[in-house]
Amino acid sequence: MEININSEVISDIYGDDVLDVILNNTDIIEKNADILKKYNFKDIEGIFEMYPTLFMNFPKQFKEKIEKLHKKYGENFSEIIENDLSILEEIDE
Amino acid sequence: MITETRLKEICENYGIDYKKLVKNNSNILYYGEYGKICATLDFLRNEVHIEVKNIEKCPSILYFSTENIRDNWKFLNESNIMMSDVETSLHILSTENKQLQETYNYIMDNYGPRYLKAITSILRVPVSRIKEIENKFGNYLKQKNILRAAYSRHTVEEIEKIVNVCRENKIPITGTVFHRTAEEIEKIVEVCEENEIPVTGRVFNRTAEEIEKIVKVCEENEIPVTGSVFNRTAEEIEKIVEVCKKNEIPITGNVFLRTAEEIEEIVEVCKENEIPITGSVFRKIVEEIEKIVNVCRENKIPIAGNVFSKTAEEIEKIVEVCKENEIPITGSVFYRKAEEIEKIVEVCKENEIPITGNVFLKTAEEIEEIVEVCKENKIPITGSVFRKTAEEIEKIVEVCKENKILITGSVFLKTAEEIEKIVEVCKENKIPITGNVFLKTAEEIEEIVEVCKENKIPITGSVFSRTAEEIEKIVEVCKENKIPITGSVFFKTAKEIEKIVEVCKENKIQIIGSIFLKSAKQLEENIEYIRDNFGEEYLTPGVLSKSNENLKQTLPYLKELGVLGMVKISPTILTLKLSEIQERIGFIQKIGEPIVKSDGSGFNSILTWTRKKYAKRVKEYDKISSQDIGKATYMVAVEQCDEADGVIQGLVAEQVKQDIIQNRSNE
Repeated sequence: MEININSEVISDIYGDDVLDVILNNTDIIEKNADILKKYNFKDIEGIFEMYPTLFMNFPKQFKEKIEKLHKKYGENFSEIIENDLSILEEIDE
Repeated sequence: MITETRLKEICENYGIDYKKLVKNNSNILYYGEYGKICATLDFLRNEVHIEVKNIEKCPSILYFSTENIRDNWKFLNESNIMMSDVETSLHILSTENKQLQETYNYIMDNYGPRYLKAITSILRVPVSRIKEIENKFGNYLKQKNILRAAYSRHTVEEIEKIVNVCRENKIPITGTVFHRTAEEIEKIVEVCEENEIPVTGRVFNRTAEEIEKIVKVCEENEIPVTGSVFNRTAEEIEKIVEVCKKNEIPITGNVFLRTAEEIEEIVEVCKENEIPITGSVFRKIVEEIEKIVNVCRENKIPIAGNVFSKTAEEIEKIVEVCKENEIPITGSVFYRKAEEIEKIVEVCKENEIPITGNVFLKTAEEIEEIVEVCKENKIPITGSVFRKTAEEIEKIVEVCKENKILITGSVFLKTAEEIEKIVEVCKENKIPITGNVFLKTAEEIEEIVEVCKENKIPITGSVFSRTAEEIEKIVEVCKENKIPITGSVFFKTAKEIEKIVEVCKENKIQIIGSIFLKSAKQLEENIEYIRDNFGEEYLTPGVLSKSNENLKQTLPYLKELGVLGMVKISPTILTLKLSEIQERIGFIQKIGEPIVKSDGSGFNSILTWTRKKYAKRVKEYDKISSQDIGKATYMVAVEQCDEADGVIQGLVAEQVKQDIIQNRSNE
């Protein structure tokens, strides 16, 4: 899934150096975005803006982390998380 | 003739280095005369202000007629020639004046001022010789090489032999071949072949014997035998190596532009002025470096790299042009002359191209060609396209289309042939062909793939920002420090990761992926700010991974609100800009909710929503609000009408009553 990266926001929050890293690693980000899409997350670009670091995990690790939340919060976990993204702090490591 | 003592006396009076003078041409002692030397020096130094170092390089000027020198100087000063070029080729001033003028006019009419600038020394060559060589070799030699051949001391027959030897051995006929005889060239070619040295122009600066010695010295000192080493003799190279080792200077090509002595002087100047000692400083002699440093300081230009490709005067002109056109003075502007920069700015403005660093890699004409190709192929005109010529871009586009590769900036780091090799390697190893792979060559990719497989690291984007060796080091550092090998660790070099780990350990910060988005220096900056203003308990990865600027805006605001403590538990709020936080808090308060959850587990979830979700919520709220307001307004209006109606009726009733009373009284 192609992600539109809001450069201005990323640059403001994290700095230009982080933006550069992100722009050079769009392949990982897009793979991870696909993973979220399969779990029916709606605003994946928005989630990426809030948690770009999470998307930098290798896809296998990213999937494992998402699965962890899936087990903890159940079938509606995507909805629960999108209502309170601070839940992602549990796996952003 | 002149005695050594007398010559030394003259040198002392005029500030000339006697040893250098005599080393360059000892004939001065045989042909020089005291009176004439002084007269010439008076003219050169006092009237035309020639630098002493140029006189030292050309001692022969001192034993020719002063009148002739003066006439030649006058002629050239009034002509279309830069006197700085004459100054560095002083021997032309000793040419017979009539002949100098003839040659000057001939070159200007048949070759142009460019050749006069490049080969100013041709002015000492009679026109007849130039014509002879043109007639004989005009079909084989380019114009500049005709002039170089003419300038050499070879007879026409010898030049013919040289040309033939070059053709037989497929050696490009550049100017330097005329430093040697045909026989010498053959020996040089043999030595080069034995030692697997490419036969490039510079090897002809040396004899075959010298080349053998140089190769030996290079091998002993593990110096690659590149063209630049042939600027020096074997003995000089040994001295240079010694000086470089003493001063811990990498022995790269540019050091061989200078003598060992000059290198020491340059190192001293660099240290005094805190200039990094990189290869580029050796392009200039000490005096020039000092001028450049002064100009850079006056104009607040970082003293590094490209500035040393220009003279101090040129830098000043460039700075002026940049200021007039509001162009940031970055290293790349020094690839170009001031006049070229002006043309480039014009072309960029016409084509609405941002004037960033890479545009200065090309001339204005080249930029126009590139823009045309990009428009034809619908390629965004970003900085990286200017690394290539228009022709190269077309080939790259073709290869990308054939292989269905998205044309992003990084493809222009490679040639079309390199891209094809990379694509092949990626397909063999089932690696997605995305931007980062083009940071590497096909061979490097194969090495990286091998290392990743050995260490069970997924082969995705971030690994290609590192070399295979670097990846191995990073894995080692992570294992030593028990850091999980996530994608983020490859954002930095192994050395940087070690520094980051050290900083985290010193400050007891949890080492997780997001920490590696920042350099050690940036982390320290954030740590210092947070510790000084808010306390150590806020030194968490979720806080530290943000930009220092953003932290300086958001944290004080949250403290003012009395909710800063929640950031320790839930830093998600820091993924918003200050203005966004303020807006959302305003909204939360408007709808009567608390900023922090009642159980103290975190911020109100509104502060964690994506921007889209928040905007949607606000819109919904505004819609409901306006509906409610509408309804309420209607209700008020209705109530007020009823009330008004009642009042009116009351009033009417009262009036009727009054009327009745009045009527009764009238009756």
